[in-house]
Amino acid sequence: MISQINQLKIGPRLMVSFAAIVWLMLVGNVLLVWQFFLVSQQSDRVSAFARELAAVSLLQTDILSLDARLDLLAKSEDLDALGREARNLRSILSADGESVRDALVHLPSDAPRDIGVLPTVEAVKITLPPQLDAVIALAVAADWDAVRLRLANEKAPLEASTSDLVRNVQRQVSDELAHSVVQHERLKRRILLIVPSTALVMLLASTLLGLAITRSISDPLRLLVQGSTALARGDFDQRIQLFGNDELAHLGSVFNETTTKLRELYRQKQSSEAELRQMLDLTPQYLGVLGADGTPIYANRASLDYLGMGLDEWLQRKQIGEEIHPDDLERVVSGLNRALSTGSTVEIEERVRKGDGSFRWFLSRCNPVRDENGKMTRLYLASTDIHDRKSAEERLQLENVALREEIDRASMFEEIVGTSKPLKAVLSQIAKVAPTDSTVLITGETGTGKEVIARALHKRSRKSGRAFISVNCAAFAPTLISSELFGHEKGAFTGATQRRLGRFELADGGTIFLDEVGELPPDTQVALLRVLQEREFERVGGTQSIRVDVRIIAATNRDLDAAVAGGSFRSDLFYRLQVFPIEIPPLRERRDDIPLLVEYFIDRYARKAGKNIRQVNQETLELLQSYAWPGNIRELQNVIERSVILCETETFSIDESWLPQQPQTFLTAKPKSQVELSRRLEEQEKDMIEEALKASRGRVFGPTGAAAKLGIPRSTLESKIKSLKIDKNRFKTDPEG
Amino acid sequence: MSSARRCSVGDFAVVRHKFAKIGGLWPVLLLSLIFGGCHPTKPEPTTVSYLRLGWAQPDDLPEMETLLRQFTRETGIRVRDLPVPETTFDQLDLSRRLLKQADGGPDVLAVDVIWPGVLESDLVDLRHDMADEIQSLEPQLLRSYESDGKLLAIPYTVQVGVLQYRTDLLREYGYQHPPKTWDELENMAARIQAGERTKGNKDFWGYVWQGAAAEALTCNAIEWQAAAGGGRIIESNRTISVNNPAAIRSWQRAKHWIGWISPPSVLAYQELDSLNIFDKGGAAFGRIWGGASITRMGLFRQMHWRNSLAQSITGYTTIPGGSTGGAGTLGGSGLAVSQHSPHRRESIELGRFLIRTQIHSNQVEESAVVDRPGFRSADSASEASRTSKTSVRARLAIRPSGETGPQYEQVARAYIDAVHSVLTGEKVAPEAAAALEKELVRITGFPIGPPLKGD
Repeated sequence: MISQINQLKIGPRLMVSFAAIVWLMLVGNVLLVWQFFLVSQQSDRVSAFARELAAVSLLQTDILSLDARLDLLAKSEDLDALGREARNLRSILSADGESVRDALVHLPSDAPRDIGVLPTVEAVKITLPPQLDAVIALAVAADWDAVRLRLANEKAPLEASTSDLVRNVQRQVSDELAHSVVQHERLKRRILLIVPSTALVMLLASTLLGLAITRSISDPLRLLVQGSTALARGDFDQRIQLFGNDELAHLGSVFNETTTKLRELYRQKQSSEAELRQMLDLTPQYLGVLGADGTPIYANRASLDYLGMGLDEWLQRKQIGEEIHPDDLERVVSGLNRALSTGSTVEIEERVRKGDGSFRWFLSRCNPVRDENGKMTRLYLASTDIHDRKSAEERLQLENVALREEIDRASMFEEIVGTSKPLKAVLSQIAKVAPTDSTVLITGETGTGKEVIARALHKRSRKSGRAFISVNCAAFAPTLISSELFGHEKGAFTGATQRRLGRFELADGGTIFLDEVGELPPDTQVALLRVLQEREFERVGGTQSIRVDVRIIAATNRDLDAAVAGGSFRSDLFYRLQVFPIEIPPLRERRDDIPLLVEYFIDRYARKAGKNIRQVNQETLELLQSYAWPGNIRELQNVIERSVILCETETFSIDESWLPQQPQTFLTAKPKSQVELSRRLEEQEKDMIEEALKASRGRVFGPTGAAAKLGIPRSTLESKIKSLKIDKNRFKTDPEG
Repeated sequence: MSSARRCSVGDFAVVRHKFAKIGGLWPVLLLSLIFGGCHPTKPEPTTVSYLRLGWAQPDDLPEMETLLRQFTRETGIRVRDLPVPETTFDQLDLSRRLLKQADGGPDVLAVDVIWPGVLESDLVDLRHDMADEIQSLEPQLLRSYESDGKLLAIPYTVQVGVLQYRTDLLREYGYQHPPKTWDELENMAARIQAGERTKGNKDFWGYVWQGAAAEALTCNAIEWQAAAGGGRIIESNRTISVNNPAAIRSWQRAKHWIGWISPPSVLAYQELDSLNIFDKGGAAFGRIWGGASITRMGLFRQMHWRNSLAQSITGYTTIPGGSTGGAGTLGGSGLAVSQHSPHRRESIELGRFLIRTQIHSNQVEESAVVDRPGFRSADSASEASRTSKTSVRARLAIRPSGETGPQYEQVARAYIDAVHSVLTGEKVAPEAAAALEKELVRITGFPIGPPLKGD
C-alpha cells in the first residue's frame, strides 16, 4: 500500500493523504454518532422493558384485584354482580394481555426476552375464561361453597403464575437497568476516550501526513534548489538522487541529464574560451566585458597590463570608471547610457589612466548585447590606443587654427614677388639669417608683407618641417594674450574650463611669429622675455615650467625705439628681439615690382573667379605705378581682386576713382622735415581711418568693415586705431555724423 | 567535487509507515473498545422453556422448582417453566397455539396421554434419543404415546381414576371396606349423607365427581361404562360402540345420583371443585386421580399430596365396578420435545433428566410405600392398594385417543356434550347415545359395533 502510494505523483499523493485524514475523521465521527446511537438505544431498551413491566404489573394487579372482588361477591352470593365482574375481568384481561403483547412487540429485537411472558399471558387468557365460566356455573347452581372454594384455590396458581411473570420481568428490567447503567458508564467513558483520541489521532495523522508530504516535496525541492544554485555557480558536477516516480524524481533525473550535458558543453566552452582568451590576450586591442549593471566580467591581458592589475583585482571592482579621466567621465557615461538605452554600438574617445597614473587616449567601441527579450546582458568594450593619433590631432587642430590664419595671410603674400633692389636686399638678409635660430625682428609699414617674410624665414630654416605659429598680439585683449601664448591650466581663470596648450607649446620644435609685438602688455613682455632668455615658461595658472624649442620671429609697424623711449615697451625685450632686424621697404619704394605683382594677383584672382584675363590695360598699369600705395601690397591686392571680380573682358583695367587722389598730393607735397612727415602721415592716416570707420559705422572687420574699406588687415587697423587714439565707438553711436 | 545529494520519497514512506502503525491500529483499537462492550461478554446460558402440566396443582410448584434448579446446576441449562390451563382441552389449545408460534413456543412440553395423536406433526420422535430411559419404562404406557410408529412422548406421570373416601365416616357408619360396586357406593353414600345431614351438616353429600362439560366427564363416564360393560366409546377395532344399552344404563345411573347423593352443582364440577368439597368435609366419596409409577414394576400408589384436614381421614380405592368389575381411567402425561425447538439438544437433556428423576423417585417410593403415614391410617384401603396392582393393570379404562388420533378432541367433545346433556336432563340417554353414535360416525368414519369384551 505504502509502496504503491510512493509511486504516486504529488497530486494523487496529496489526494490520498487528504482522503486518509477525511477517512479518519469520518471514522471518529461515525464512532461518536454510534456511541450516541447506543446511548439512545439503551434508553429505548430500558423504556421498552419498563413498558413491559408496567403492562405485566397491570395484568397482575387487575387479575388479583378483580379476583379479590370476585371473592367478595362470592361471599355475598350475588350472582348478577358476579356475572358482571366476571365479564369485566374477561375484557380487562383481554386488554391487559394485548398491552403486554404490545410491550413485547416493542422490545428491541436484540433484547433478551423472557420466553415465559407470552406463553404465560396466553395461558392466563386461555385459563381464566373457562375458570370464570366454571365459577359462574357453580354460582348458577347456587353452590356458593364450591364457588368460594374454587375462587380461593384458583387464586393461588394464578397469583403464582402472574407473580412469577412479574418477578421475571422485574428481574429482566432490573438486569436491563443494571446493564444500562453499566452501558451508560461504558459509553460515557468511551465518548470521553473517543473525543480526545479522535482529536489526537486527527492531529497526529494530519501532522504526520503534513510533515511527510511536506518533506516528500520540500526535501527534493531543496536538493533541486541546492543543485540549481550550485549549477548556477558553475558546479556542473552536481548530481541529485531522487527516488520514486513523482514529478520531482522526474525533475531530478532531468536535472542530472541537464547537468551532464551542461558539463560537457561547459568543458567545450572552457576549452574554446581558453583558446579565445589566449587569442584575445595576444591581441593588441584592449578588450573588456561588462555586465548589464556595469560590473566587470572580463578583460584581456593587454587591458590588464595597461591598467596594471590582475584579472581578480579588476573583477573585484564594482564598476569601472575609476580609470577614466575625470574630464571624459561625463561623456563616457552619457555614451554608455546611450549605448544601453538604444542598444546600438557607440564609439567613445576617452582617456584612460595607465597603471603608472598617466593617461592615454583610447577609442572605445561599446557594443551592448541583448537577450531574446531585449534585455541588456553584456557590454563588450573594445578599445584602441589612439593617444598618438589624438595628440597629433590635438596639435594638428591647433596648428590648423594657426594655419588657417596663416593661409588667409598666405593668400596675400604666399610668395615674395619682385625684383627690385630694396626687395633683393631684404631677400639677401633672409637668406643669411633663415638657417640660424636667431630671433628676427621684422619692421615695415602695414601691408608690406612682414608675415610673408617671416614665413620665408621659417621655410628656409631647419625647423621648416615643424609648425609655423603666427600670433597677432594686437588681436587679443591684454588679459587673454598670455593665455593665448603660454596656455592655461584648467580653472586658471573664469572660462578656463579645460587645460589649453599655448601657442608656444604648439610651436614647439617650430617657429612662432609674433606680429604686432609692440602691442604686448607689460606682463606678457616679461614672460616673453623669459622665453627668449631661458626657453621655458609656465602655463597661466600652472606651476610647472615647460621647456620649448621655438624660433621667435617678431614683427611690428610701430616705432619700437619710440615705444622704448616712451616706456611702453621693455628695452631688454626690445634688444632681445632685435637680434637680427629686417626692414621691409614700402611698395612706393619698389615701384618696379608693381607690374609683376599686378600680373601675379590678376592670375591668382582670375583663376579663383574663373575668369580669363589675358592682358593688362597699359593705362591701368601706369595708374597703378603712379599711385603711392599707402596700404602697400595689401592695398594693391585688394584693388586687383575687386577689379578682377568686376572685370568683364579679357583685358584687365581698373576704375581710376578707386584710387584716391590724395596719394598724388601726398607724393607731390614735400614734407618740411622728417618729423613733419611723420606727423602729416599720422594725420593723414587718422583721417582716412576715421573716414572709413564713419562709413562702416564704427565696424572694424567684416566685408563692410573699415579694414576692408581701407584694404588693410583687421589687426593692422586695430593697431592703428589704438596708436592713433581713435575712438571707434564714436562712429557707432553717431552713424550720420 | 562530485556531491551527490540523496533524497527519497522513502522518507515519506517511513513516516507513513509509522502513521500506518498508529493510524491503522487506532480504528481497530477504538472499534474493539466500542463494539467489544456493547453486549454482555458472557454468553447467555441456554434457556429451555417447559410447558408443564400441574399448573392447577400449586402444591407441586415448589417441588418442581427445586427439580429444575437442580437441572440447571447440573447442566447449566436454564429452564423457564410455563403454566398450563386447568383443563386438558385448554392445555391442548395452549400447546397448539404455542407450538404454532414461530418464536417463544415451548421446547419441552408435557402432553396429556390423549393428545400425542393430535400434536403429532409438532413433536420429535424420541425413540432413539431416550433409548436408555425407555428400557426402564412400562411398555403399555409407552404405547399410549406412539403414533405412526413414532414415540412422540415419554411417559412421565401416570394417573388412574380412583375413589377417595372418608375413612372416619365409613368407620363411623359401620363399613369395614370401601365400596366395590356402584350399588354399594350409592347405599353407603346415601346413608352417610343422611346421617351427616341429620347431624346438622346440611350441605353434606354422599359422592362428588366431575360433572362439568370437560374431559374429566369423559373419564368419569367411561369408568361408569366400563363398570356396566358399555365399552369405551370406540373400540380397539375402530368401531363405534357407544350406543349400547349398558352405556346408556350407566349414564342413567349417574343422572340418578344428581340431587340424590351428588349435589346438583356437580354438573359444574371439575377436579378442583370436587376436591374442594371433599377436602372441606362436604362429601363422603369423591372421584379423584391417583398417581402411578411409570416404571415397569411400579406399584399403584396414592398421591394425595394435599396438606388438608382430609388427608388424615382419606382413603383411596379403585373406582367401583359393576357386573364386569370396575375400571379406572388411565390419565397422565408424557414429556415431548417440540419439533420447532431451537434447543433440541438441551430439550432432550431436560427430558432425560426429568424422566430419570421420575424413575428414581418412583423406585424410591415403591420401596417405601408401606411406610407412608397416609396408608397406615387407612389400613384397609392401603391393603386394597397394595393388592390391586394386577387389578389396576387389568382394569384401566383407556380412552380411544389412540384409535381416533387427531380426531380424538372432536370425539371427546361430542361424547362430553352427549353425556352432559343426559346428566342435565336435556336429553334422555338413548336419544343422546344415538345422536352421539351418528356424530362419531361422521367424525371418524368408523363403523358401528358392539363393545368388545377385552377392552
